[in-house]
Amino acid sequence: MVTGALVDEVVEEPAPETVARLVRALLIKSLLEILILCLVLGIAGFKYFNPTIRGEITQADAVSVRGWVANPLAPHDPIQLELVIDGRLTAVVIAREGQAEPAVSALLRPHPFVFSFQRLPAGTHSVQVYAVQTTPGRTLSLVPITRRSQTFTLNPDR
Amino acid sequence: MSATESSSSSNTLSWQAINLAEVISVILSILLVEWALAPFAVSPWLLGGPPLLAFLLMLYSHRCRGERLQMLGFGRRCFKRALLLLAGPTLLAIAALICVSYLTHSLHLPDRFWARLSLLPGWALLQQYTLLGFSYRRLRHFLHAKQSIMITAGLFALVHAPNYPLMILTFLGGLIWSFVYERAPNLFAFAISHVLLSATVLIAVPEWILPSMTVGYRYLLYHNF
Repeated sequence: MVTGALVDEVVEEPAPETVARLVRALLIKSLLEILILCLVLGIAGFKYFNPTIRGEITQADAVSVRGWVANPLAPHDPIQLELVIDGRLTAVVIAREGQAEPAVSALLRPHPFVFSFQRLPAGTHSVQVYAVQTTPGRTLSLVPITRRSQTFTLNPDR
Repeated sequence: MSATESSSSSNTLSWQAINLAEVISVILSILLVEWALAPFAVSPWLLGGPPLLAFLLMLYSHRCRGERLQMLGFGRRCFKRALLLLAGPTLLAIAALICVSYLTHSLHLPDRFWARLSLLPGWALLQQYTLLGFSYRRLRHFLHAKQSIMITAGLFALVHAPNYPLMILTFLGGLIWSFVYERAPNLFAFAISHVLLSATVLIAVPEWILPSMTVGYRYLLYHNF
């Protein structure tokens, strides 16, 4: 039985330039793979982590929360919003394209919204509004319309 | 040690390092796709980038070293001998798998079986080329046959992680194929053995042992733990 003779037949000392060429090829391949990895991470980051839906809570008081929301990927589509007060889902509304505050550019196609609810008890409350992301090609998810929830305090005498 | 001896020793060392680096680079390309890129459902063109680069590196490496297709196992040389050596273990494994399927009543035709079978020969040849025609040959340049066989089988199992039933099967397959390649390097014979075994695994292994052939991140995605 032939052992090791067939596979091993080309083992010989390489010329230094062959080694150099292979090292170069390995480095170029590694570099291109790093570039591909960065590209994929960049695309995925933009696709999955860029919320696209943005907005603002312009007013929050004891009985209502107002603001606007916009989705540049589907500027004319209604946007379902969920109001969370103190960590609890309080109300759901559908925001439609309309006229928001003059400070908001019309190019954004803002969807104004108003949540009305029973008077909140005195104390500090946190408010956040979540939009239901239903844009085709995006993962169905709840997206907070502002980076941080808004906090306000109600005095007992009001 | 004279200057000439020192230079020769340094050359040998760098040559060993190159062989090792080439194998690691190719395996990393596969792992990169399976683990780092697969989680992000981006363009398949981008997912195919690293394997394509690995393939180009392998071709370039053969060219630099003056390795011809015949040497790698793409010719007719050793075909009959390789088939003869592979026939025993392949038929034995097929018989064992059929036996298991008979005992567990698991003989089944999986989804898209014929479509998968039609792609299998090319896929098997590509895998055998990467495993034996490239990785095993490079390892063999600086390791003993037994070490090369073990490491090649280990690497073949590694790229099928974390699908542990498939890892066990591929490790055993890797051992047999590397052992025979050492004696009769003909990749077409190995591809035939690979196709027969893969097809048998697909139809014979119970789903509770091998629920799917997915590997890497996708295996985690579609299985509950």
